[in-house]
Amino acid sequence: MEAALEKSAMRKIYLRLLPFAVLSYILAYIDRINVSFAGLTMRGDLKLSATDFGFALGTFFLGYFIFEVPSNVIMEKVGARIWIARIMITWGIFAGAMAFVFDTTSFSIVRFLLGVAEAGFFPGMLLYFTYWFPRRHHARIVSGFLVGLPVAVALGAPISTGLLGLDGLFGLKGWQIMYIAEAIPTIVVGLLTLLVLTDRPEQAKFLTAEEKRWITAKIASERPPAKEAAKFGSWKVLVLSLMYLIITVASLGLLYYTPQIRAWLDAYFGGVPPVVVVLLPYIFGTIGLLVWGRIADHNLWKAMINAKVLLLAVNYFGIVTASLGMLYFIPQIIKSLGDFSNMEVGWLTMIPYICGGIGMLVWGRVSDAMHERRWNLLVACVLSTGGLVLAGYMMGTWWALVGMSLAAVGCRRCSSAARRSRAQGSPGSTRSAISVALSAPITSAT
Amino acid sequence: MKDLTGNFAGGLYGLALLSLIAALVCAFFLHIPDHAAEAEATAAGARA
Repeated sequence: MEAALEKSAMRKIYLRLLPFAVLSYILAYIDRINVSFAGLTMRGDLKLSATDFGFALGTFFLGYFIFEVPSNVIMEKVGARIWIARIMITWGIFAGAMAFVFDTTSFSIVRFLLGVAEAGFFPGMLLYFTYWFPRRHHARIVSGFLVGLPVAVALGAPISTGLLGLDGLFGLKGWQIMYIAEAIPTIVVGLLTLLVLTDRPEQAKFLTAEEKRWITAKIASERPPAKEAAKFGSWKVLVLSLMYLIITVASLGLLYYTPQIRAWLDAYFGGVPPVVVVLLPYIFGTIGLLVWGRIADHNLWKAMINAKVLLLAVNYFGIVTASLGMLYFIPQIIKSLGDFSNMEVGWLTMIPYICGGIGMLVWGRVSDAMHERRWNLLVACVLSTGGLVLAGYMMGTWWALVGMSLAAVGCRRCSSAARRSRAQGSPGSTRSAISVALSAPITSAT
Repeated sequence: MKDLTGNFAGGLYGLALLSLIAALVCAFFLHIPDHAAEAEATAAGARA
């Protein structure tokens, strides 16, 4: 009886939520990575150096990182339907605003605001799934949701490069048309969110009363103690986030003005090696962080200096940096293989991500069947390493694309496993969140 | 990393190094519990 009830309720929930979640994630990723395709022509048009371009890309993650946790806290308060709609509509607006950037500063600011707007979408969706899916469905729903990523890259590549080819239409550059055309569907889907999503199972009109009772009772019986999550819901955390924003702005200001400070020091002390001047504030900062962390008697600090949390952060940092590095540079690496048009680069970019998507699904099923995570993750990391080394060694030949495809399979599997363990709340929601948060700024800086 | 090494291959080797670090952490330090399997095992134990 219960099995039949579960089957019918879960079927309806999957059909209702999964296609929408995948579509939203595809749009999120297309809007996030289209900058790598735009870079093929935008850099020249705006006269951006590789460093300026890289810095502006990184500001997205800064905004995302700062507002990720507060966004989830607000979603818990106001409900998923309104909040996810808000996220999609505002990120759509900023994704479209990318068409109007004119220099490094405006590019960086809009990328930062895009990160702020999109912050909380991915963890918000994972949180939302926990309202609807019993624990034994988590792996399946997260894997299904993550399929959106390789699909986004596979679809995004030819669409973006195709739109780049419309250069001159309405007097706009190709990259401006691309940003605007790819932002509009996000805003439309954001508005549709208000009709499609329901906050909680007990409010769902598409479930019978019996199904609602079953799913509500099942989720309630599996809910872990809310003691740790409550820490993130308090006003103190919001104040801390605000303080962190101010500190980060000051820190970035220091970074911006380092060249001037260096020139000033040079005038006074003469002959000071530049590397010493640039690194000195950060050496003091790091020592201060470690010492302060040791003496501070606060759970958050304790979690931050916990060896396991730091190791998880290192692991996630390695996976995410390799994965994002590939994502941003694949079009330019492919371009180095020969004299391809932007459209051809787009089609070729699909290959590693089609391999990655298929690999992620097949490997996910194998891992589920084996009830094993750690060694599967290790093999995926090693495959990713091997693929990247092959691609680097065979640079300029088609073997590089084979290497990138192998690395994409490894990276996609790694990301899926790491995010799945995050969705399951392992090894504890606060620590897990901190480990990911710790890795985020380093990843974007790299 | 690409800027540091001066070419794409160098950047890829840098990314490979990060993947390798992730692999080493995974091999020697990481324990990833499978909550679904544990819950099923607990439920099976309770039924028995």
